[in-house]
Amino acid sequence: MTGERIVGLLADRLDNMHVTAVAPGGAISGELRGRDCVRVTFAVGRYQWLDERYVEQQLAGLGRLLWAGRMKAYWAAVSEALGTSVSGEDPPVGPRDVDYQSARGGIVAEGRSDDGSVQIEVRGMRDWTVRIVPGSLRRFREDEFSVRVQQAATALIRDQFAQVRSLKDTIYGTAG
Amino acid sequence: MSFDNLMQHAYEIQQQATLKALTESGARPAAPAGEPQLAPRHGEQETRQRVEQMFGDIPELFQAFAEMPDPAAFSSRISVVDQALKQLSSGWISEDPVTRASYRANHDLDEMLDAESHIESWTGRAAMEFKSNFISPFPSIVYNQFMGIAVLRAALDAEREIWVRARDDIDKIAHDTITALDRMDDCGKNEWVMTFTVVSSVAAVAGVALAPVSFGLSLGLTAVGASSQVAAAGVPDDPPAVRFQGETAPAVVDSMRDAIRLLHGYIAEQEQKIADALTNCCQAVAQQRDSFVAKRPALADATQSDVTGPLFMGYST
Repeated sequence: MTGERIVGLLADRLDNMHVTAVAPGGAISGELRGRDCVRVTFAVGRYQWLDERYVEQQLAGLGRLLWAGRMKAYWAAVSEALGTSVSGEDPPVGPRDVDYQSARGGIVAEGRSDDGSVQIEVRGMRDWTVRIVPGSLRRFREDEFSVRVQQAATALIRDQFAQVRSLKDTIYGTAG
Repeated sequence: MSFDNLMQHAYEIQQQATLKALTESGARPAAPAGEPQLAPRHGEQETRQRVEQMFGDIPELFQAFAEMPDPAAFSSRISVVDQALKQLSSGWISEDPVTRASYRANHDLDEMLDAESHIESWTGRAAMEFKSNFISPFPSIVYNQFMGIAVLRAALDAEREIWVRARDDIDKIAHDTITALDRMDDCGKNEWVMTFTVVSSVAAVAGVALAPVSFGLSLGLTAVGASSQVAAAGVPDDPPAVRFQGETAPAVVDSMRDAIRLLHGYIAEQEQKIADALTNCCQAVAQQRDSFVAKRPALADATQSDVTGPLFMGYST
C-alpha cells in the first residue's frame, strides 16, 4: 500500500502537541513539542551557578511535570477525536488487560545523549532518574548542554513507546 | 458533514492499518509509484501480500453505506404528500395524528355540503342514493383519507430519519477507527464506545383512529414516525452503546467490522418497523375500503338524455 498519508485528527493533535513546565526550583523550563521533542532552557544568568546534582533533581521534576502535562493534552485530544469527554483509562477487563497494566507499570525506559553525558531513566513513567556526568555543566555551554538533554529525552520517549508497543504485541498478540 | 468523505476515510483506514501491521511484522511498505522499489528482504513481499489481504475488504465495507439513500431525496416526495394533506384538510383545522402539525382547512371541501341542498328536491333514485352514499359519508371519508395520507407521510419521515442517522453512525465508525489506529501505539488501553443512534430513528405512534362510515367497528391504522417528529413519542430509550478495544491493527479493524455488522442489523430492524406498520395499514385499508372511497355514484353513468329520468336525477319538486 503506497501513497501520501492522510492524517487523522488525533494524529494531528499529537503531532502538534505543545506542553510547557517549569522545574520546581524555577531555574529550568522545559517544553515538549509534538511526540518526542523536548527543549530545556535556563533562567537568565542561572546556568553558570548550577551544579550537576541540583540539575539532576530539577530535570527529574521537570520530566514528571512535562509527562503530566502531556497526558492531560493527550486526553483532551482523545476526547476531541472521539467526540465525547474521556479523562482516563477504564478499569481492566479480562486477564490480558490486567497483565498489560501490571507489566506497563514495570517498564523502565532509558535515553541518553549521543555522547553519554546526560542519561534519563523512568520506571512506569513515575519514578524519574537523571544522571549527568560530573563536570558536564562546566564543560558545555548552556546551549550545548540543552542539546544533550534534548537528545536524552527524545531517546527516552522513543524507548518508552517502543517498549509499550512491544509489550502490547506480546500480550494482545497478532493472534488476538 | 464528513459523510461526503466516507470513502476517503475508508482508504485512509486501509492505508493506516496496513502501515501499522507492516511495521508490526518488521516489513517495510512498498515505495510510492514512480520511485525505485526497495531491495526486498527475505519474506517481505509475502508479508506485504498477507497484510494487504487482511485489509483488502475495507473499502467495500464502507461502499454499501456510501450508496445509502440520500435523505435529501425524500424531500420532494414528502412535499407532494404534504400538498395532498392540505387538500384534504377539512372542518376548520385538521391536525396531523403523528406530528400534531396543523393544516388549515381546504374550504373547497365545504362545497359538498352545498351540493346537498341542490339535490334535495330531486326525486330520481340516483339523486337520493347520491346523498346517502356520497354526500353523507363525505366528511368521514375525507377525514380517513387525511389520516391515511398522514400515516404515509409519517412513514416517509421515518424512512428519511433512518438514513440521516445511519450516515452519522457510519461516519462515526470511520472516525473512531482512524482515532483507534492513531492511538493504539500509545501507552493507554485503546478502547472506545460507539453509540448507534439509528436505533432511535423510528417511533411507534398510538393507533390512529378512523371515522366509521358503514356500521361495524372501524379498524385504526398503525403508524410510525420519525422519532424527532412524533409529538407523543416521549423520551426515547438510550441507543445502545457498544464498547470496542483494539491494541493491534488487525484488532482495531476487527472492531470496525463488528461495528459495521451491528449497524447493518440495526438499520434492517428500523426498516422492518416501517414495513410492519405499513403492511398492517394496507390490510386495514383493504378491509374497510368503504371508509376511504365512496361507491361510484350512479349519476356518473347518466347521459344527457336520461339524466332527468327516474333512475338518475328525476324531476325537481
